[in-house]
Amino acid sequence: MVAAVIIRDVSYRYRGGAMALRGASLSVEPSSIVALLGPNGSGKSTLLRLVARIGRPDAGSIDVLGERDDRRIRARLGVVFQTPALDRRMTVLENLRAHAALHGLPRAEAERRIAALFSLHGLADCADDRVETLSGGFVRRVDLIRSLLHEPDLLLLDEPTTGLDPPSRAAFLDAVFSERDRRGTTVLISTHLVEEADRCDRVVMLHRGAIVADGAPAALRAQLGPRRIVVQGTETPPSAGRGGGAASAAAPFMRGRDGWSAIIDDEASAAALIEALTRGHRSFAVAPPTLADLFARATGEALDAGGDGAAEPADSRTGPRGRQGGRRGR
Amino acid sequence: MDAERRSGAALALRGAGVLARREFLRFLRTPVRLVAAVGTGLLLWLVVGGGLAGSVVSPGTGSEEERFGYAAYLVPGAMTLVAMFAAIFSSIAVIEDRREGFLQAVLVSPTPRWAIAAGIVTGGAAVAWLQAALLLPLAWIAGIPVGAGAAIAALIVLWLPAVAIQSLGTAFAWRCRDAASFHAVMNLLLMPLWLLSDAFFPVDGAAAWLRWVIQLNPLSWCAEAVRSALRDGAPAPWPLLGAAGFALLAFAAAVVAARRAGR
Repeated sequence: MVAAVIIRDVSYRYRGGAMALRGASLSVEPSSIVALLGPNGSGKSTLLRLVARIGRPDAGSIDVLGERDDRRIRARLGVVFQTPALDRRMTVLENLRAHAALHGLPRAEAERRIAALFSLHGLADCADDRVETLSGGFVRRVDLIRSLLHEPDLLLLDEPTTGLDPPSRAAFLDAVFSERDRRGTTVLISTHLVEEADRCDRVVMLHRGAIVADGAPAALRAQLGPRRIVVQGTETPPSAGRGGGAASAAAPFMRGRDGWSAIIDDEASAAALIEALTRGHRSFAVAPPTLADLFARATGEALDAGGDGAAEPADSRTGPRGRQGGRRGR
Repeated sequence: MDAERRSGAALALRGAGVLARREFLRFLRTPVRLVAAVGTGLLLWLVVGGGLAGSVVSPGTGSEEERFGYAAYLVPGAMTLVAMFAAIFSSIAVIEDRREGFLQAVLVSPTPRWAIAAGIVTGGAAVAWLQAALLLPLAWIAGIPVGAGAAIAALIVLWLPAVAIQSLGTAFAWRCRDAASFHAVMNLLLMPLWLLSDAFFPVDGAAAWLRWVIQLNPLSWCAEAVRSALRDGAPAPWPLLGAAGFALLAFAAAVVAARRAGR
């Protein structure tokens, strides 16, 4: 089966001089949903823009849908950007008709597809509303319909759920999955949210322009140990406080959004750490490892720390002792 | 291949039409711009019609200034300048639109870049032209005997400065990263264009070197083309050619900028 997208050793430098991509290589199978996971500044959006032929790589090559001509590629491509590509002063219907025309859809065919997509996504009621009057979730869904109108073979989604609440995010992703199931559309989606990436067929992790991990979410998680222990409610890394020394020897703690966490590779180490934390009256939780943990292990940085945000190793911080407390659960 | 070329041309025309129509819709749906357009016209009507009509008479014999006063000179110049400023304002929207709006999706559509530029320029120029055309009744208010043919000729010629400045604005807007840079570049370009033109003041009394500068200024050609059309019923050939060349070159710059966008 011919890959929908083949990215070979692509490098790209911003006008200011910073490297956005460093030798990224990737092949995307048709009808698959692939997540590009990484913090801000990791090169996800740049990679999507290069696939969409907005810019050219400084080195390497990108084959899209086996086409050579940019216009033919664009005719088979749907793109959802970080900010909705809709005119806020126009109505939903006017926006969609305009984009249908820009893709050369005959008027009658455009009307038929708009009606079908409205019905599929439950948006018929807002057809005559101006985009500026809609909620963020609705705008995103209209923007998705806009990108699907010409029935693209490849859908590029650049952080498409930015600014949405969790239910709206889930609804948006449901719509993307249903489109793939319905038409076999290949989807390349960039995100910094683990829960979004986890739903995809495959996850490609990007860090400072380089691919650091690539595989199915379950396979990637399986590379980690069975447990992840998060020490909560403290500024102090466990190794610096009571009851953490044993842990840091087994697996270093990394600082993330919800506290200091360590991935424990085996049951014996997990049991030893839990006992040490309990003895030290530290508040902690035990959970399966996530893709964010794999990212932290692969890069030494937290996924939610942003482009420059190196996660702090446990031994690098000093400061007041954390609040002591009992075990919260396992 | 022929069919593909024909369908490519149809796509380009339709795409350009959609983008032009959108520019016009945006104008009609932005109350502030509507108020500003009508307000500018009203203000100039009051000043020219009430304050200046017949009050200034330039030296010279047999000139239009002598026959109809400064107002007759000012009306076509004011129309040209209003077209210029309105075109610049409407091209500012390209910057934000390109970075985080409607134009992002337009750029990844199969519509050719030249058609995208043509659509934006046509729509923006139409808006600017309309705002400038609203000033035409000033001619009658100022007592200038303008026939229907002369009015139509002037309105047709008025397209040239609208297209030229809208194209220039669009070309710069494609390249500018933010509105502040755009304003800086446009001020650098437009202020001399405006001040060193004969749109508001006759060239006759100016110093010799300044007269040369004014006569080489493309905005002077545009103003003179409109003025001669309004006065004589047909535009003078050289100003018309100059204004048309200016519009053509500026449009080419807009197409080049659109083709380079994102590369």
